[in-house]
Amino acid sequence: MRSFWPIYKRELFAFFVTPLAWVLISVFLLVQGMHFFLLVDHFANMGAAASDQTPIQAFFGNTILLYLVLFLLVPPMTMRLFAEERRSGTIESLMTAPVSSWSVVLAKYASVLTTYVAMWAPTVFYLVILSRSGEVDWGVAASAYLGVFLVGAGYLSLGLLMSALTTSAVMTSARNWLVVLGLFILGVGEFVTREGTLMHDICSHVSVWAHMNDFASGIVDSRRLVFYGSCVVLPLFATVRAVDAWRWG
Amino acid sequence: MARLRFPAIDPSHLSKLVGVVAAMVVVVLLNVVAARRFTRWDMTANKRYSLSPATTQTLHDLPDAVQIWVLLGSADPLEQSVKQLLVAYQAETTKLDIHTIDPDRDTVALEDIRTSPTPWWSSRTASVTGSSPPPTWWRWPPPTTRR
Repeated sequence: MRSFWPIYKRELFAFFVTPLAWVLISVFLLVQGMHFFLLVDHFANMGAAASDQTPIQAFFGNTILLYLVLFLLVPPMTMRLFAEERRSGTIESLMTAPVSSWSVVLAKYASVLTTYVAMWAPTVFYLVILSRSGEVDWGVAASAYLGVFLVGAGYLSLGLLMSALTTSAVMTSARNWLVVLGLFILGVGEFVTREGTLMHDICSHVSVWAHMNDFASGIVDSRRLVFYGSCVVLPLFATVRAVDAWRWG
Repeated sequence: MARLRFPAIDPSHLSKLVGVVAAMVVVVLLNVVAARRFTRWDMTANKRYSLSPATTQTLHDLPDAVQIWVLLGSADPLEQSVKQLLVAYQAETTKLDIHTIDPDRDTVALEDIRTSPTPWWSSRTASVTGSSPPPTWWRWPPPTTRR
């Protein structure tokens, strides 16, 4: 694990010297800013007749915009991690160095997760702006950010696995989109399938839509923690096995 | 006729796959257990989704399984809060068996319970918004069986 920090720092640096990171962050903040503006406008026009929803609830739950942003951003973030290095051959020097596969995988994952957190961090200012003119329930905000973090962590972990399975960055993001969209559509099945069937239970267990609604209303559910915990751990484990496979032949 | 040929699996790959498959099985089992016994933490400042101590006590003391039938359309303004309330109940006990039927969309299920041989709900239905349910509404099967 001694090799964790050097690889982590190198990955983070490599991401932020390319224009890709800054383009992604700018696009993300632009879309989120527009989203926030529309919401504030909506709630301001509704006045006291507003529903039982709070702006935080509307910003993080019950909205397609959050998922659109996640779908657009996560695959490009993870696509270079392994695929690019394998294609260009720089992975050779990393793989022949005396570092364990676990520290390589964890360092790459931690760097991309840090980037994700850094992307979301400026959106806290929106809540600060809101709190100047109204009341903000910081407990709900904390649980909403926990939800955003968990969903992102799960998606990034899946993306890391997809990146380790191919040598082409385009193929990586295509597969990643497939997996993430597949999970999302399976979750939407919650509203289509009949209640009481096994399919409905499976769909509602993986439904990102319902999870984010819960987190955005201030409910932290142990089922969600277990689900996203397994979404993070299982792909990481599979990635380590994949790295081992092409490392030792 | 062309023979269908499957690609041969390298035994060294097989051993690596076994580990991943075993991990997947463990994770699925863990999720199944977690879906049955779960806890919810209410982070709202005014404890909007928390149950009162009396309700939790009642749920913990349930003698046997309870069937709850919810006949509520998805367009109903109460739908979300009723659902949240029932999930909060489920977090406290595993004895609840909740069936939700949307009478506007799922007419087949509505017909099923309407034409079922023992019309137990006619006397024992606990309306979610009603004032006082009959004392034995949670008994299932009902104490007297009709032939």
